[in-house]
Amino acid sequence: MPSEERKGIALDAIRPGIERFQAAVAKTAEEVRGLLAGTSDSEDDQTAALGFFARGKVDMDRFSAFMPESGHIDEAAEAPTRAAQEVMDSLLARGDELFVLTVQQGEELASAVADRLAEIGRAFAAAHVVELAQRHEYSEEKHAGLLSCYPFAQWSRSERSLAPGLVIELPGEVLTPASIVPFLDRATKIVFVVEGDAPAAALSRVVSPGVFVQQETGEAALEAFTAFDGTAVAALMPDKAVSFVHDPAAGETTYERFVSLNFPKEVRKRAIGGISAAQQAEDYALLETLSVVPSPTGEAASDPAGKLSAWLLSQADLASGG
Amino acid sequence: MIRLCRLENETLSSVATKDINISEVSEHTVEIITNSGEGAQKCAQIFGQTCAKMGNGVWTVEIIPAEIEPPHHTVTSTSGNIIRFGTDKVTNWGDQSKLAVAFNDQVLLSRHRLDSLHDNCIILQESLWENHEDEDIRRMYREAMEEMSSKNYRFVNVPIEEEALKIVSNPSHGKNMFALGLLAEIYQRDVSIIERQIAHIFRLKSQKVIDSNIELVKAGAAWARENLDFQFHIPSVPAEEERIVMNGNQACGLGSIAAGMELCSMYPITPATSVSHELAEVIENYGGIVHQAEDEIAAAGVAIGASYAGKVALTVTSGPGMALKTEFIALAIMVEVPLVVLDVQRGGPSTGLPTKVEQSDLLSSIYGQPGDAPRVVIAPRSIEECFHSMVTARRIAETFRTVVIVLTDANLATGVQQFTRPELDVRWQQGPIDQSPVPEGLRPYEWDPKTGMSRRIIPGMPGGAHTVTGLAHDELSLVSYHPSGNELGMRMRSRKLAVFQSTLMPPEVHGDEEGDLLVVGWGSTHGAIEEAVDRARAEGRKVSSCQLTFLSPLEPGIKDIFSKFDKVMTVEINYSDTVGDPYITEETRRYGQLAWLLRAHTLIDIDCWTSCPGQPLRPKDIYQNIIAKLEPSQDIEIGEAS
Repeated sequence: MPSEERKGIALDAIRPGIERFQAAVAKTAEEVRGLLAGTSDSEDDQTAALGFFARGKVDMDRFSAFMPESGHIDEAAEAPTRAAQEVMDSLLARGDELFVLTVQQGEELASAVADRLAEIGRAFAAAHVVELAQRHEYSEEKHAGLLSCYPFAQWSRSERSLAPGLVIELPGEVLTPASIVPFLDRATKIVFVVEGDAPAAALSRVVSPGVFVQQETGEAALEAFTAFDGTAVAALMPDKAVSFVHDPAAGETTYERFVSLNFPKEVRKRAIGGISAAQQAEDYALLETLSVVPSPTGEAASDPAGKLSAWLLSQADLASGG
Repeated sequence: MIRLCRLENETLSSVATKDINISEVSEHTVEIITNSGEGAQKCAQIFGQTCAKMGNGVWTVEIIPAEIEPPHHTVTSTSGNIIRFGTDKVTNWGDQSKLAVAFNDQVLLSRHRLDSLHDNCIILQESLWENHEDEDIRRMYREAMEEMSSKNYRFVNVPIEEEALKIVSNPSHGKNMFALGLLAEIYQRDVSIIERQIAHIFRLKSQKVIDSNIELVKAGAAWARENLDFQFHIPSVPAEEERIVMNGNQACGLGSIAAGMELCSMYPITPATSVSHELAEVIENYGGIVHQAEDEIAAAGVAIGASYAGKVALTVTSGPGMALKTEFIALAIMVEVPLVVLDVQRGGPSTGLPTKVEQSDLLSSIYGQPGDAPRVVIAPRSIEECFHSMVTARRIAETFRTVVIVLTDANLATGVQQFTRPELDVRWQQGPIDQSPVPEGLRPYEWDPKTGMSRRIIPGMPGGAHTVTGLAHDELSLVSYHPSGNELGMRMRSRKLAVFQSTLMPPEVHGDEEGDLLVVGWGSTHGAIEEAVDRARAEGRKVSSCQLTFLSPLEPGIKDIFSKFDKVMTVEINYSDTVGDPYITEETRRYGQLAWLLRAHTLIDIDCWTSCPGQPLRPKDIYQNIIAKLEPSQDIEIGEAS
């Protein structure tokens, strides 16, 4: 599948998160714009704020005399508030591009992701700056830097819930998913679009009980990834990679959560990037181990038929005897 | 061949081609009546939207059975829609329908019994029933036709089901679009607009569904072209400004987004639920949320909590829900948390008439509390005002730290009208609160003794942490049972309303400022009242009207306005006694709700004409009661709406 097409699929997969994030930023930017527009507390502003329904029914002059100085921005607060609004506007203006990261050969995946999330986080920082300015707690020295960089590590719980997701285009040699684990929290969704040779079971190292993990080759269907309510990682891999779906919602035990697992017939046994053949073999082994279905007799089954029969037996509860 | 056709009270100005009479009329009222579930609403929705997009004024009214899936082919199963459209702006549903499409004789009979059809109504009737194989159905048909024979209806039999079956296998999913095609041809509607509407309405269905619906419309139009000898031409005046078309619930929903509402909490209740449907689809795109609470009480509580925390909150309900929210509304008033409550009124009391219109929540909205709990009550008069009222309601609530109840009703909620596309103003969205640090020593209720107003403090503001209580409290928000403290709180909460009233302007009078009779209404009856008054004025009668929008506090200057008329009469969709009925005397008589309010407020002997038929008031009924009020001796039927 052409790279552009795969990028489109990946973007669609994180689209709800992007829209949620953009809507929140747009709404906040509008509020800040309103705040700045109301700075003068002019009669016109007050009249407009009361709306058309009041026209001819309410004496605007009288009414505005009673209106509170809603969201008043004083002189000291105006500059940082405007700067914050510009940050939000500039991030919105970047559209989808903000959520697509291209990592080149030789770059470090973790730091590239950290940088991009810190850039996205400027939207949250802008909201903080507006609040600080309103509260007269803004200090140029202490807070100005927030608007240029707001690292993921500093994002609050609710900010992480609003994380928009990332599409990361990268060559297979750079694919070291374990390095992005620090960013996997709450609503984070990441889709790797991998070009060229890559470790065949690269995403095995991010499998954990609450994280949706999907590796796909060929035609990719990421609906389940998109629908998953929580942290999720997917990779659109080249051929000869393992394809699997680990869905935390599918069951309580590890093997139940592996709703699909297909190993390629042929695996290259050579180092890719910094990952040795032995490390790749360990990735394989990890997946095999996690997906093994315990049988009532204590034996393990890893083939689909074995899984099914073991599951049926477990449901029948024959092992517990009569 | 050219034929001329003159319809009663209508101007004929054009001629026809071939054998078709084309009557040019300034307006027409059409109804589509079917069994529940046969798609009348979709048909009418598309027809109404098409008329509006072609530049006609439009007003639609839904006919919704009270029960879900009532038995088919009975008078109780009637579902449908009435569309009144014309060259000029249309403000109400008018008097009677002049053309009807009926899918069976029983639903038609139900409309006949309600006097909904004009004496010369053209009825396009499904031809299936007259010779149906079932003797019972044939008998019902004959009896219905016999009952309707007292009128001069013109019946045209149309094989609606037979024609629909040529295109779809299930006629219940096709007859409505065939009927739409009939109407498209009769009123020369732009089929390309209809096609776009169909594509939009069925956008979540397959292309096959869209194509078959369009095919049905074309088949209906073709049938009408080949078989009908009449058409109506209703000129349209393209608007200079951009217009939008929606119903009142959509307008309230979108208006609340425009107003910067951040939270709408509600519990489903007819006919208010669709407000939250509208909001739920889009509010998250604007940073807000819809919260469906576990019940009406919780919905009010969530909204109050959100507002206490600094958010802009709305709760939506209808009469029975208002009853449940009563205690929490009192809490919001007591703790002076701004709150907008939208009450889409329906027939009551109790569960009453869930799908039908009534204006019976006025007094309960103003006074329905134990203890003294003053609040603002406003009533938009049109669908456009539904939109804009949300902006004003928010601002009043925040300015005066109080509850604002917006009273709409089922007529506005489900009626569709077009209006000028609002130009959104960012200042409507202005942040609700001043987040600067709370000045040292400022108390949560730092009441200005002159105005009763105090600065709103949000707990998250630096220095703003405070508790609130529904118990009597002092300026520090501490529980206080001191006699003077309780009285002070009450005085301050009441004073705010007086201050707000001082900002209001006297209501406008429609017509002359003095005369024999002033008709006073509120809310959705606006268009029908003004049309009736205009009819009477055209006959030289000295009648004016006045539609109130601020019900609590009342607009100023009302007594002065009333004093310039010999008689004042309210017109309302609620109950009042009729003097002369058993046990009903001038002394025992109960008045309409606005009449009660105005009599108490002005000490003027205000009369009322009210009706609660479960449907909007018709201009002709209001007109008749105006005449009866002016000329009591005149022998006309009054007291009941048709």
